[in-house]
Amino acid sequence: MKEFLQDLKRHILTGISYMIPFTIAGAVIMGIARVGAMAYGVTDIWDSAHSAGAGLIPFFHTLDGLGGLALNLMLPIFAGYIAFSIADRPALVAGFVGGELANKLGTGFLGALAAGIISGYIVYFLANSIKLPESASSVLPVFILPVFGTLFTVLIMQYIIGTPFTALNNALVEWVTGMSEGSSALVLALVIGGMVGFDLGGPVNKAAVVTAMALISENLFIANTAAQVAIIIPTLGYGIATIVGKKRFSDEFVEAGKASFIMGLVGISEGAIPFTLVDPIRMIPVNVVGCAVGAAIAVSMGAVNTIPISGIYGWLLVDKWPVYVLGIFVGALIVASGAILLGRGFDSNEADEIL
Amino acid sequence: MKILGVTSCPTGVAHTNMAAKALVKAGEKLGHTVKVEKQGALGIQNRLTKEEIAEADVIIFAVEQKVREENRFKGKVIYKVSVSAPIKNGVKVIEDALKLI
Repeated sequence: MKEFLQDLKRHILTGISYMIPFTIAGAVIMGIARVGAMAYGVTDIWDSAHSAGAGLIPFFHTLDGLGGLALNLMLPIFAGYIAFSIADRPALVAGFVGGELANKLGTGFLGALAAGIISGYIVYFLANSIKLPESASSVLPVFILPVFGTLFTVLIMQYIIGTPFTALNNALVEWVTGMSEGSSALVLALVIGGMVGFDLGGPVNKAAVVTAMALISENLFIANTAAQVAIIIPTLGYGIATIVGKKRFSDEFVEAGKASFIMGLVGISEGAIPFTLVDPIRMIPVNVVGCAVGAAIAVSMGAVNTIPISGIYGWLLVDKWPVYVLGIFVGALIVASGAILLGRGFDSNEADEIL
Repeated sequence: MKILGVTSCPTGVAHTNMAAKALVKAGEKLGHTVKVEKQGALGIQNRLTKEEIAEADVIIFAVEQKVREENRFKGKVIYKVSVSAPIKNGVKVIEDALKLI
């Protein structure tokens, strides 16, 4: 069972890893359209009223739609590559079509997740249970698996899990929309931020980031804003710590700190791992507090990041980017002071073992 | 001992490389030759050749994703761990992998 769950996690992460570039490409193109439209004082560029207008407004409206094209491929790609991971090439078609059906039925991310898993295992089951004589064996991959894999998947999606998953998805969206205001938004930001900081790329962090990404496909951006702020806080924090508190770190860690800072700027959270591993008992809480506070500041002051990018090249596409950047730096300073004041062992030999 | 590794993570930019580096380093420490194929965001880097796979005693999968072209490794002794395992303790991962032989 444990093995099965680990494999399942691997399948889902495969789906996410293929989906990420689509999300980023789509969201950035739409972000460019939005920022460009703002120059004309237009804040709802997706509205069809802007297909005609002054200057570049129609162009930005079209651009927004083109970005949406990439974004709409998120669910099919996600479901398709989950299926691909489970049962390889023959399952890709069933997963893709199942994911597109999730789009159409409005079952959202959860429906696409179900579509990917169901189609993958259906094809896996068919491929391993149907035994054909050698001479006819090619019928399986060219006909039976694509046709029946897809047929069973879409029937299950359409008639069995479509309705309950749509209801579930709507309830979730409503619940999170309700949390998007006032103090609950703050709580959401604290929780997501803290989770991201907890294990830096581990399962808790991934749960938070995946949730944030799933909510993007529903046009809910608070979780994403919180997550993207939090992702780079520890890396930047340790980078700052090794610059400000140089004496407390071994030469190797000062070098690692510079690398960490640059990794932070481009949006990679893993630079903080060696620092955290030296003194996890003190540094994990420091990371969690820094990430949670930074995310809460950005969200509560109204920053909205619609793009799953945490690096510096995404900052200018954030609504109210100055408070967004403020959140990042306050969080990073918390981590930096925590590392300098509380951290133990950054100058020991044991530390060099880890690097 | 000849040890091979394959690493991958969902984003494929950081953990993949860190795990690969950790495996090579731990191998050096224990006196084994380790070559690691990285299946990251840029595709397959440092690809393992057919000969290397044939000669390997054990292959470590430190992966969070489907291993690309997995059928290359059919019939080999494979030790599967998460991508963060070698980053935390590469020596232990290699020692555990060698126990499988």
